Amino acid sequence: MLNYFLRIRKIVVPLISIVLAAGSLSARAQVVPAAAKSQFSVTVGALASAFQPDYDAAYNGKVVEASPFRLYGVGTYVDVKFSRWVQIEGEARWLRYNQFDQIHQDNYLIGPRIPIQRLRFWRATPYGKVLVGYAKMDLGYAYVPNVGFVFLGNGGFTDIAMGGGVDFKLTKRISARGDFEYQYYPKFIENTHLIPYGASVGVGYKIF
Amino acid sequence: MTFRKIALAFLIIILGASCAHAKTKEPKYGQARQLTAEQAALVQKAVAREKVLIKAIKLRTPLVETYIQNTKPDLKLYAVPISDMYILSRVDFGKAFTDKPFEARSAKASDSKSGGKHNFFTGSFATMAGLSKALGLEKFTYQPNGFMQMMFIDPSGFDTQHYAFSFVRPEFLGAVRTWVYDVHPKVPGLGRFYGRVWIEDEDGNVVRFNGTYTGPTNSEDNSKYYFHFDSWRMNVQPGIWLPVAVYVEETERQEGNKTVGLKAQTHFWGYSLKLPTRESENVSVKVDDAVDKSDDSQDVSPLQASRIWVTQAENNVVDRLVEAGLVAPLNQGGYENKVLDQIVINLVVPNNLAFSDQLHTRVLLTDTIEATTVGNTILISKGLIDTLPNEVSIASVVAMELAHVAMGHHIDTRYAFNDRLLFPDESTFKRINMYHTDHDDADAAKKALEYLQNSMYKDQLPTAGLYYAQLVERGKVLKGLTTPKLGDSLLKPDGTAWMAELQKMAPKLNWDDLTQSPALPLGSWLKTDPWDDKVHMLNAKRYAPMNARDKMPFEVTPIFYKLQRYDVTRLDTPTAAATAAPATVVPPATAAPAGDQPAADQPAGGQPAGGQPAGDQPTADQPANTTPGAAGQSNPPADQPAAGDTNTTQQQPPASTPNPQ
Repeated sequence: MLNYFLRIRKIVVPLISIVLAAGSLSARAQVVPAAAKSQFSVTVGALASAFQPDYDAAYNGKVVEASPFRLYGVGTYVDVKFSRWVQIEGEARWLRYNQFDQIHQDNYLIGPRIPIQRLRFWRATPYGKVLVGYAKMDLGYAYVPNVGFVFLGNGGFTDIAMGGGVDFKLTKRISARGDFEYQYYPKFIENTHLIPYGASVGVGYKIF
Repeated sequence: MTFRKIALAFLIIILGASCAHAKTKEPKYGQARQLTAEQAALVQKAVAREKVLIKAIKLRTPLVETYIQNTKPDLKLYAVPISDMYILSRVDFGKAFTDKPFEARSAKASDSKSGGKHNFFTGSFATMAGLSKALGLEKFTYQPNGFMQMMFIDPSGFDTQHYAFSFVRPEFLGAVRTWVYDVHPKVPGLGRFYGRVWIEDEDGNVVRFNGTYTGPTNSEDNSKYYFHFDSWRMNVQPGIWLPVAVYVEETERQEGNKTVGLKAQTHFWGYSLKLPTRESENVSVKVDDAVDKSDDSQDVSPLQASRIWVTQAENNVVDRLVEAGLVAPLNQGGYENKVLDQIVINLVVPNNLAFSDQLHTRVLLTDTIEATTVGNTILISKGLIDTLPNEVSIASVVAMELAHVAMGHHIDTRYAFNDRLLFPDESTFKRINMYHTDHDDADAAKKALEYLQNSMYKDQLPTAGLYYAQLVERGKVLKGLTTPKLGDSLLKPDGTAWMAELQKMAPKLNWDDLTQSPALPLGSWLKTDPWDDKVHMLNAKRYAPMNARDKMPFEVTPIFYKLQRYDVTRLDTPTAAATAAPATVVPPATAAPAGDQPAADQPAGGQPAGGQPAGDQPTADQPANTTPGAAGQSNPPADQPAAGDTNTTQQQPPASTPNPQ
């Protein structure tokens, strides 16, 4: 599991670096502007997600194997944009479909998101994000010798998510989103970590 | 595993495509023309001088005043102001080019409908407004720093590595020969200048530049605005050209579905602020032959002591305001003496007002419309004087302030203690309360009307009334201009004029009546020397309006200076004979209520004749009395008295000073 995290770090760290570098480059101006318009906006949207839960219940007392099945689910998100660089995203996701041994995950996350303005093209704005929050998980069944299958119950875990994606502006108010996210449960059962990851697509509506 | 690979590949493609696309976003300008060796040499000189200027300017902390009028299209007047904003700051060049705004004064009791008491709701609204501002939630905000920085072409990167120059032509700006170049950045970036620069051909100083700064290249990032501007510099001291004024204009900016525009002026002054001196405090007089006359000294009565105490407070406040760059230093023989003091005499004498101490008049350097008194000193703002169209309207303002003095509405004597005036300049509005109560203002307005009725101005009062009618009309939208910073507003809290009685005498405002000149554009009369802060009369030709659009009451107009090199032989004169020339300002002489008598609308002259006509003796730095010519243009010789102006009738008030009419 640690190896897993180390591998994704190679991607996440450069991603965050690009975001920060792009931000600092864009912020520099020879002369400051004479006026500024507020960019405050609130966008709400719905997501459809496919995630690899990175968990296959416990087998013979051993926890964690990659699940043979991907979990599918739906979610909702809220983007609050204070300025070009100060934005907050909150998302809730319920991965309930295509369950294996009744394993499913719910995420409730919030955190900053940074659009990479320098990399905008056409109507698309790439972004990066780091969210933290809570993950609720049904752990499914484990096979216990001489006992048979035992339901392991459910648990709540701290969830850190890093990812990015692209927002496509379809109209003045409607946008589409493609999003990829690595999640990290630093304290999963039996002192292990869990690294679910997955992708989502969604549609958002800018309320104001 | 396959799923993860697909997702990562997707991310990499997106980022790669974005990078490739971003690279193509280069600004596009015309091809720069090759410069000759001479032209290139002047550019190099200008680049070097610009660096020297920035170093020199960092040593100073001038005041910067920005007044912005938002406009909307209007069928009849082309564009009319719909709101405004006034900002006064002191420029801080210490670490970066930033501005320190003057703090607003605490609310006068009548400033709020709740009687000045802050209840829960007003406090909550203020907190919410502050929070909104801090979070950047306000829909559209002007940034004073952005207007201030228009004094620079590029504070850190103006050189041939970053900018391309194309020679255009030689051109005279006033008496200064310049070479004109078109300039655009060679490198992309936010806030780089592109437009035209005028470089004077002797030392290579940039004396004017006109254009805008590069905005965000990304069309989606419409949160930052750079406006078009025209920035001027003056030769204020030998070899020193400093920024003096900027005119900003955007006529058709889209804000949502609305077309809005803006016009703004930024002025800089106070480059050489120093402590004021008083003649009576001149301690460097010769004392060799001094004789001790202490035995002859008289005792001071309690009343006299009280008056001296008030005078001490008055002197302290005026000195502090001069030191802060908010009041013009007294210019002996200047506008204050020649015009304002004469009008005071024209009111004092017929009303038999016997003041124990001499009255003084001074000019507040702000563009806001306000006036007040400090002891026996009458303070009238530059913005107010600039917009008053004629002598009788100036007299109406002076009369009200005179009434304050006569009725004993004195300054708070706590300022007699110098320690109360030891505060940063930016706190001046907050720390010095110079306004009168509404009750005092109401009394003074009544008394002022009496003074005017008894004076030589009694037959022209309807003309003055027009000014108040126009002020009331424009005051509804120009809150920034009509809200006083230090003194009293000419308007009551309900938006009507204190001198409403005068307004009642006036005919109805009629834009199509070109003989009506209710109010002038800003900058119509006075100019401030950016080096020593003294005010001088404009030496400009006056034009009669040819249509309703030419009237522009209380409006911001373009700035144009006729530059001159600093003349070391005229150390006591303005540093440059700059002429801020509003495009068309002046109503025809027929605006005078008594018929075609242009002299009737002229400010008083230099002779303390107590209402006596002072003759037609314009001073050298003042425009002469004018009668519009056939084409609606009056062309008095700039420095020539209009002594032979036969249109000046002897029954008219003193006519030695300029007349916008």
